[in-house]
Amino acid sequence: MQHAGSRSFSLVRLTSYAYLALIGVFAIFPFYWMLINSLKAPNEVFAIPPTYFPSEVSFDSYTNLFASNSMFPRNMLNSFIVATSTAVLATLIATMAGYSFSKFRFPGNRPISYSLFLTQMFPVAAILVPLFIIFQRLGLYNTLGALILAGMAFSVPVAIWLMIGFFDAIPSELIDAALIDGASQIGVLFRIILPISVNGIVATTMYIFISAWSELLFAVTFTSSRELATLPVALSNFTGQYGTDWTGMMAASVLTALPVAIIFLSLQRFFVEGITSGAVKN
Amino acid sequence: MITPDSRTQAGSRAETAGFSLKRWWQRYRLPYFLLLPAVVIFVAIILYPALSTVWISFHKVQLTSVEEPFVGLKNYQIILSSSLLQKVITNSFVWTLSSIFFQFVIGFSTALILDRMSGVGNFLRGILLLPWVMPGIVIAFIWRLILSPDWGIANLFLMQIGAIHESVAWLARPSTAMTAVIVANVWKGFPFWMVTISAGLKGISSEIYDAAAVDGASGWRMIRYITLPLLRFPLFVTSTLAFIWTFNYFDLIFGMTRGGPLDATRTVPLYIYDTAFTSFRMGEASAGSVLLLIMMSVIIFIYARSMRVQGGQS
Repeated sequence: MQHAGSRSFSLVRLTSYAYLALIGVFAIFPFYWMLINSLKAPNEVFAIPPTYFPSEVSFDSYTNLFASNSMFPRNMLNSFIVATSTAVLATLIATMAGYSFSKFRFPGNRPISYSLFLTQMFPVAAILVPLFIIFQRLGLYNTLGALILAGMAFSVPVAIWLMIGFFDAIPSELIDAALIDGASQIGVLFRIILPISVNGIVATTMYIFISAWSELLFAVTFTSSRELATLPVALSNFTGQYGTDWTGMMAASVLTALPVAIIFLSLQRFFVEGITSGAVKN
Repeated sequence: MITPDSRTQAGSRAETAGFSLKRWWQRYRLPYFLLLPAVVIFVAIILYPALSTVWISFHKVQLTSVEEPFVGLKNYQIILSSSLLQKVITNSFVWTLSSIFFQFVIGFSTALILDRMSGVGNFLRGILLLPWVMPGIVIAFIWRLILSPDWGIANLFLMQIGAIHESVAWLARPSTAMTAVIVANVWKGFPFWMVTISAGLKGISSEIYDAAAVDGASGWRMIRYITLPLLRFPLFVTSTLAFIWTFNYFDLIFGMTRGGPLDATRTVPLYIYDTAFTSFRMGEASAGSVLLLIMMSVIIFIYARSMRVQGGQS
């Protein structure tokens, strides 16, 4: 009896590991396929049946992206400028607001922080038209500034939420002690809170960097010239410009995905907490 | 007995009783000042545009003309009487509900298995999360290549296992394009479910399972009567977030099909985008935006209310 039980248990275990392996392949294979096709010679992509490994590894698609007539380096720079500015400015604003929400009692604290939290569910497409018109009237249409402003509006709330999490973990006694010693509220922020929270601030900045780096909808709507195209916009135009240059498209995809993957894997624990905090801890 | 001390106390009490703007200002200026930039950005880039969408939807707005005459409900009449909007809404629900259903099934099952593995589980969870953080446009390209007709790896695989007999141009046919974009979105979205469910599972103590096992409960019954009910709260939050995000997700479909072929994959965000910036019908796009805003507000309102109710209970 006991024997039969343990056998069926190990069968369950075996099936579940096999299932997990299947899901693992499902999750990983597309990345493998992107990488491997970026290293194929252009014609090999169209081989029938498709090859699982390039018969000859070629880096041409990468060197072509950095050829003198290529816009790709420019696109990369644009994305870097937009993502960095959005991340730094949003984190700065969110640090101030998060400190305020976390360490002060004032009328409106709860309702304001709550409505900011709800903006992460806001349908972005619904304000494209007015934002487009506003940016055009302010002369911001077709500038990277428009992308930074619009991106900030939607990353500040997320960043505030993350910063509140970090600040809440700092014991109030620490602040009270400093206040008794004669420090000002602002002094406390700069001398005590910020130095303790450096890791959290860096992680928040990276979190926003990734989302701004990937942003497409604002970028296709608020910029039109090729010189200002960010990586996602340039990628979405790739087919039109070069026919179906699949190796080039895959190489560009790899280079767009790489910073995201590196940042994510190095800050994994923080990201997992960031993703789950809203859903589980409330 | 009146001492100087108690008199000043009484005095200050009188002062706080009457509203003093000066004291109020002194007390709260710092927290409000710290909030100011965030609130300004929110009002300027989200709240004000949201309100002007409503205004635009009742006017005839053209980029070429300065005059913006009031047209009443005309924009709404035009879009509500078009068969395209019906198709777009049907598409949106098929896309959203199918995506989140399969994301949930895969996310829940992997979370359950990973929960029984300790150290390796954490590592695997991290790797499995990668699709979730990838830029939408990159995902779109990878899946376009995988789903290519003759040279596509998906066709080869499906032919080898005998599911299809000849290669299919998945993204070029109206009947298969929606399935194809949903598969790509399931790939992208299941890790989010996996991670939130994993976090929820950590909160369930193993003693409950042990007790149920002693009572003779089998695996399925445990999941049905213990795990799922205890995960009610995280599942509720995750499904609300996933519904709203998926409904409004633009990048993946834009990168894979641009809403085609023959509008087979056109969902609400692509409909608004193309109405406004391909056909330049700003008024109609805004009318569509207002309908979207109303629908999302209703969902968010219900969500926020039940959060408060559930939060109060726990």
